[in-house]
Amino acid sequence: MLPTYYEFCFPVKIISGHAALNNLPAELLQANTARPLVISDQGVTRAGLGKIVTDAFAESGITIAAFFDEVPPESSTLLVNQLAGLYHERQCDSLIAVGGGSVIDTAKGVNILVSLGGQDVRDYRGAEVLPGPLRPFFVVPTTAGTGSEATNSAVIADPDQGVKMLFVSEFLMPRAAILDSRMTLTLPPRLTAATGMDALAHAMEAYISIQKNPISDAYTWQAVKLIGENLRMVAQNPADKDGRLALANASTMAGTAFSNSMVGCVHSMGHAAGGVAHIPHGVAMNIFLPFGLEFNLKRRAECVAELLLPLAGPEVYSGTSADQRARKTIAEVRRLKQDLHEITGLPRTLQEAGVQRAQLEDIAKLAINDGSAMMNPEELRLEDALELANRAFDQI
Amino acid sequence: MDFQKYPEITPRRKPLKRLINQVVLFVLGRALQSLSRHDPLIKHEVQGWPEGFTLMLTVRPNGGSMAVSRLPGGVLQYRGARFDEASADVIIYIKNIETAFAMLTGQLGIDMAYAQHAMCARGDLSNTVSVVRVLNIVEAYLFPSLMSRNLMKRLPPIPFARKHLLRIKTYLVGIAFGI
Repeated sequence: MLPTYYEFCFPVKIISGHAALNNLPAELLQANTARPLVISDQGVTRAGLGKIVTDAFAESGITIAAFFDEVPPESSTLLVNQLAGLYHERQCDSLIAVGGGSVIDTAKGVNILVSLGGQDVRDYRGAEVLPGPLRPFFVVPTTAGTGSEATNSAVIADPDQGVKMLFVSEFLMPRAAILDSRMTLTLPPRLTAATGMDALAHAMEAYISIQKNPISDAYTWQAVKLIGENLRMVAQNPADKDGRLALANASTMAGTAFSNSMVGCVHSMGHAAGGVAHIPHGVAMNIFLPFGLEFNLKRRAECVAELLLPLAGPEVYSGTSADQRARKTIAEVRRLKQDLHEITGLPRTLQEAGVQRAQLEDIAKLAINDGSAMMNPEELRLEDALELANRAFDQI
Repeated sequence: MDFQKYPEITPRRKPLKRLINQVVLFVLGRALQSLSRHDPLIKHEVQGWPEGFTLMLTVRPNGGSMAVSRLPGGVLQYRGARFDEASADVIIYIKNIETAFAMLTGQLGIDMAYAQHAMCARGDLSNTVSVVRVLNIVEAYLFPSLMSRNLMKRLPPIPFARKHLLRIKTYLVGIAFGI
C-alpha cells in the first residue's frame, strides 16, 4: 500500500565498474571544474588507494589542488573549518572524498562552508534548511557499508560541546559516486563482513521504517539481494572483484533507501553501543539487527516476511509457509551472522565485542534519545532498549 | 503575445486557519509551561535539556509561532508568539499552513509529520527525540485518548487519575495562567 505522502530524492550519478575511477576526471570536466580538493584518510593512503585515484588523473589536464589524507576516524567541525581554509587557499573549485563515512561526512561539511560562506560549519546545523546547490562534489567510497555517498546527511562531532552535530539536506548529496572494485579490494574480511552487515541493516530498517516508500523499497530489495548473494563469498574470498563490486552497489542502494526512509532501533542501539562501549558501527549493526527486526514484528511482520525473498532466494521463500516467513527472515539473518563469525571472527554478541554487562543501562539510556528511534515503527522506551541490550549481550 | 492576458497571482490568505493555528500554538506553549511543573515524565525529559535552551515552533512563512525556554530548575516558560528566531536554540519550521493545521488540531502526529517531511529544523538537534516525547505527552493531556492513540505509536505511561486531574487543571488554569 502506498503511503499517504512521501518524498524521495536521489540525484546522484552512479558510476560503477572495475575501473570506474578512470572516468572521474571526465566527470569533473563536465562539471566545469579543474582544481579539486581531495579529502581522505591515512588508511586509504596506506592501502595504496590514493595512488589509484591520482593515477586516474594522468593526462586529464586536471590538477589536484590538494590531497589531504589526515581525516581521523571521527570527523570534527574544527577539521571541517580548517579544510575550508585549505580549499580557499588553494583556489579549489570542487571536492572529492575518498574514504569511508568519516571522510565523506567531513567533505560534506567542507562543501557547506565553502559554498555558503562563513567561518564555522556549526552555523549550518539542522535539517532541510540549507540553501543550495553546493559546489561540485564527488565521492569514491572505500568501504561497502556506510552508504554515505548516497545519503543526504552528515554527522560531524563538535569537540567544544562534546556532541555530534547533524546536518541534513538534499544538497549534501554528491554529483557522482564512483564505485570501483579496486577501492574495496584490500578491505580485510572482518571489516568487509561488518560493513556488509551495516549495509544490510540500512536496507532492512529502511524497509520497515514509518517513512518507508515504494521507491526506497525497490532500492532495499536489490541491496538485500546482492548482500544475501555475495557477502559470505566475499568474506571467504576477499579478492572476488565481482563480489566486491556487488557489495559496493548494495551499500550505495541501501544508503539511497535509508536516506529516504530512515533507519530505526537497530541504529539507535548501535549508535548508543558505539558511544558507550566504543564498538565499531558495523559490528553493532551485526549484533542488533535480528533483535531489532524481532522488536518490530508486531507492527511490521508482513514487511519482514517479504524480505525473505531477496535475502534467501526463491526456493527458501516458496518453501516457507506465509505465516513463518517473518521468523524465517530473522533466522536467515542469524545464519548469516553465524557464518560471518565462522569465516571472519566477527563478534555475534555484545559480550564477544567486549561490552561489559554494567554498560547495558547506559547504552539503553542513550539509545532512546537517538534520532533513529523516531522512525522506528514501534516506540523505543527505556525498558525496551534495556531488554534489547540484555538479549544482545549474550544471545545471537 | 498579449502579456496582459496572463495575470500575476498573489497568494490568498487563510485567516481562519492562521488564527486557529496561532491559538493552538498559544495553548501548546502555556500547556508546556504548566505541565512542566506538574507532570513527572515531562520534568524528567526537560531536566536533560541544557539550561536556557529555547525551542521555537513556527509555521512557515508567517503562519504563527511559539517559543518555550527551559529555566533553571528544569521548568519551561512560554515565551510568546513573537520570539526572536536568532535567540532560539532550535527552531522547528512547519512547512505549510495546512500541515500545521492538521498537526495542531490532532489530525497528524509528530512522528508521522516528521516522516512526511512536514517539518525542517535549524539548530542543534541532539535533543529532538526528547522534545518529541514531551510534545507527545502534552498532546496526550490536551487531546482525548481516542484521538491521541492515532497520533502516536504508544500512549505515554500516564496513570489514569493523574491524566484526568492534570488535564482539568491544565484547561482550567494552566493555559490561562501558565501555572
